[in-house]
Amino acid sequence: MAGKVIVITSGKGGVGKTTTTANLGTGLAALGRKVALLDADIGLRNLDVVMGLENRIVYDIVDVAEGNCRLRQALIKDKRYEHLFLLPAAQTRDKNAVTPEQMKNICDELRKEFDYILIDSPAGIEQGFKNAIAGADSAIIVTTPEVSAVRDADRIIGLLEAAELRDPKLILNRLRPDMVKKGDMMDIDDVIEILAISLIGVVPEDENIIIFTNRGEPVVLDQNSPAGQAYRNIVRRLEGEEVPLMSFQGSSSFLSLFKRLVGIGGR
Amino acid sequence: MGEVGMPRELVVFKGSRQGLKVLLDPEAEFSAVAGELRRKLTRSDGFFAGASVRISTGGRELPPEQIGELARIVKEEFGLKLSAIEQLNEDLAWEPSENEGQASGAASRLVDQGGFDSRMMDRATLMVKRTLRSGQSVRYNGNVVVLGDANPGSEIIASGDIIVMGSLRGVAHAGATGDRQAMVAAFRLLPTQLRIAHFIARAPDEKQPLPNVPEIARIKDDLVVVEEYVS
Repeated sequence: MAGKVIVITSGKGGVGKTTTTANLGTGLAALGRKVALLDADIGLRNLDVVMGLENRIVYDIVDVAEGNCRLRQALIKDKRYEHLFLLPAAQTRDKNAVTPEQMKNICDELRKEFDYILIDSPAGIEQGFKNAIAGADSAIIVTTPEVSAVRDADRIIGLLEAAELRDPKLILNRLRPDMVKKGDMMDIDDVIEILAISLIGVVPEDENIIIFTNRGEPVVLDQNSPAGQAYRNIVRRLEGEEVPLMSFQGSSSFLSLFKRLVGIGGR
Repeated sequence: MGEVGMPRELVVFKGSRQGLKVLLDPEAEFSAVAGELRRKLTRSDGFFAGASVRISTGGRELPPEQIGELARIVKEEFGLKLSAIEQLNEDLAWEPSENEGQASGAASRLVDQGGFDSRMMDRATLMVKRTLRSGQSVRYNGNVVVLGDANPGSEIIASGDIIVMGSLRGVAHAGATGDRQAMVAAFRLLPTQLRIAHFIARAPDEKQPLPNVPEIARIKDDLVVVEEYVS
């Protein structure tokens, strides 16, 4: 059994990489998959905080890379799911503490035991980003409907192509349908037109995210929040299911989005 | 061009049909001219490597050792092909350009006035068979054709023409070595900034209606003019 290694990246900071990693990982685990979450943001770790596992950390990814412990010792089991594990980043070191080769080895070892390995990439395009993508088979790009975030996502897609990580998937995060309707926010079409990659999900802006994140619980487990529903849909798409995009009230681009999704191969 | 009181440029690069032409100031001290040539070639960051170049001394006769030094700089230090060193006086006036390192109006007289088809054929053309994304840059001594989009944050610099068979949203610089006949065409022309020879244009700050036809930009009467493309 060889698991899939997926890096979650964006270029720009603050667009929701860590939240996305936590929610997709938890959502996959809720479907019974064996999942490892790997925090590649060495020096600025927070995937452990979002997962509510901070107080369980003994060893981290740098300890594994340097051989201070075995990989199994550093993996932290989630509170909620038996088959969900976290390999935390080191907080007292920096991105240069790990090499791309070491990352690749760690991913290859995890691949033997898990169905999914999700890597939370740091912002930026420097060493930390290079480490994060080193062991990945595919990538999910997270962006928000802002020109700066889309610009950075475009840059990242170019760098992924150069690293031969083909066919990345896009998550459009923090969309506000009311603002799109008024013409005050880029809509899905505008973003797809620039980035020209396939969309795997759209997550609406939702204050439940903040509430759940601060509690150290992934919103994907909340049956009532729109963002939780959006994450559950993305999880099912990762599993190969065909799930239509959520219809956002007032989103005029809903129909044309389908046309684009269908026509994407031609670009 | 050639404003009064502007300091003379010791070395001027001009693009022409025959390739790159380097004009040296005939009155300045040779060591200063050679130093300036080296400086400009260094700054061009390998852009001209492999290009064939003619050096004109502007009518001054140079001793053989200085000719040798020029040849050595151009060929050995920067990897250009030296096609000739001209020491004859030309009818072409020495005109310092407004924009350092780029050509002045005189360059256009060197260029054949024929249609753009014949000009296209004179130059090598680079086909870029993908979309250029933010941070990606193409520099080419010749024409560049992009089969895809050129996204915001991307950069295309060509000594000849630029054609984008998709949306051009980045920066495009055609005729980068001074060819004022160069043009930029795109299926959707929406550049962040557009440069032809030493002319620079940008989109107006107010929101513009999106073009829904292919367009072509070129220099007319010292202005960058964008027109609907008609075949």
